[in-house]
Amino acid sequence: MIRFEHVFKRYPERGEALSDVSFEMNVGEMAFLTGHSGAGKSTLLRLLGLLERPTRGQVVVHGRNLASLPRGQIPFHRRQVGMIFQDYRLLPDRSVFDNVALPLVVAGLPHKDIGRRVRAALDQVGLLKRERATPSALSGGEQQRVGIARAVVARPPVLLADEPTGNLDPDLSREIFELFERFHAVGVTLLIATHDLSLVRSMSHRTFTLHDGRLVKDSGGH
Amino acid sequence: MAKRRAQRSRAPGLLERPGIWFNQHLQSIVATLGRLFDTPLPTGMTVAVIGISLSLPAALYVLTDNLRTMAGGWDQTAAVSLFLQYETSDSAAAVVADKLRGWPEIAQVQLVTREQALAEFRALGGFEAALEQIKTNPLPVVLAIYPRTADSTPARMEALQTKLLALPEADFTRMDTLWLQRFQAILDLVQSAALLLGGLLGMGVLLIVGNTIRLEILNRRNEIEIMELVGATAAFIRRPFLYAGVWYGLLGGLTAWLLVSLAVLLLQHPVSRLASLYRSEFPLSGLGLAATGVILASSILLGLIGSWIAVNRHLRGAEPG
Repeated sequence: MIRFEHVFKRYPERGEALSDVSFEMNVGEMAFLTGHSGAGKSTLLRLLGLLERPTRGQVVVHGRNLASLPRGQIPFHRRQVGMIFQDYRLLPDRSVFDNVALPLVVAGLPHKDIGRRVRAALDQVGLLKRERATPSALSGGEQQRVGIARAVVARPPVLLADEPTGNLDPDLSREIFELFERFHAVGVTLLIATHDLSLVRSMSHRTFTLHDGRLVKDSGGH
Repeated sequence: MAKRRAQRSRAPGLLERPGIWFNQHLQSIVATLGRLFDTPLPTGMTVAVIGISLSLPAALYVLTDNLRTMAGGWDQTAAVSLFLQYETSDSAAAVVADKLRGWPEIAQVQLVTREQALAEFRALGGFEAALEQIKTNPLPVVLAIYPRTADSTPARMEALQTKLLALPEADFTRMDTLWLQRFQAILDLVQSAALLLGGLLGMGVLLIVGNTIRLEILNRRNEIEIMELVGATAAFIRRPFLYAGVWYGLLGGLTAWLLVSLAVLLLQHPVSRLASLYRSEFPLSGLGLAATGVILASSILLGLIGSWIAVNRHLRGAEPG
């Protein structure tokens, strides 16, 4: 489902963020991506979401080679990859419902399907009753769950999360990770960047460790 | 399941999903208008600026149009009025008129007897008291001379006048068309100025719309970024801004139409009063159907082009670094 082949990413101002990273993840696999701050976790996820392109090497997602994907196809790639951010990236002036509906609106789904699917996604994250609230009325944990609902509402086969619990306390973090487990159970491929090592250890999943842009440890898989 | 996902991942073509395409446009058109009305004050100000800008050339057009109509009513007046010597009798004048009718450059000669002239003069009003005082008819016989169209150039008219003055019965001539020609030239000038002004103000509208849309794009930067993250196409993101430009143009055009129509309505009364002083009637014509169409079409086009320029400069779509 996800394949990195000798991927390098160099920023003109920061130097090498990723060097010679290669790995492969199967369909339905769940994995953690750990490492110190600035090790390249975010860069790796940004490459997968096509927020950046690699300087060298191949990134293949869902059989699509992202290096050669034309610009016009980027939106259609992103619809296949749900992204979750540390700062949630919600629209503050829109209701929870509208925030979650955004990927479906953008994809041009009929109105009645949007309502049904948004409520299903909100139900999955336990926020069905808050659909009319604006994000500012929600707690951090709730806001992140809105972010997750938005990421899964279009049922993408791949979910990426960049420090999803970076701003949350341990109990809320655990809840969020349990949510991820549930998506894993229904066959979604997940890659979660985190430095919450205690949580990672408690949930026996494959773990990649990055150090200074190099993949130094891969706990399992192939 | 994988197959279904693969299908969904394909970019939907225009012909494959016309329903989606149509729905998204319709939604965007309505949503954009709603957004404009959510902020009535800034929207109103932008629309007012566009409306006022467009109303100026439109008003000039209406002005020249009306003046042209008015001048059209005078086209039948005599080209040259030949005033005969005061002593010339009506019968002698008729002989002169017959002679003139034989001249090749003259199409028609109309004799205005002293009595007719006096009656016409009386009809003009305001002179009854003066005429009472004079007792005798002070007016000479006048021959209204219409030259052939080919001979109505300024040079030929000059030659004709000289020839007429050489007649023993002639006193003096007056060219009735010269001032009309001058008037036409002035109208042409005003109309050219209106066009030029229209061009300049059109550029102004372009800049106003462009700048308004640019600010809106900057205000919604965050929203645009998030939409790109969840897979919005460049076209989807641009669409509401382009429609906003069209709405600004349409509303501005309607405002211009309203302003000009209102001005015509307000001016009708004073113009009627002025016309009545000349014993005449003059209904002002406003913007006709064609002119209204031109105003609305050009305002919509200006709005669209203005927003298109802004969108092209500030929205380049998802661009990975």
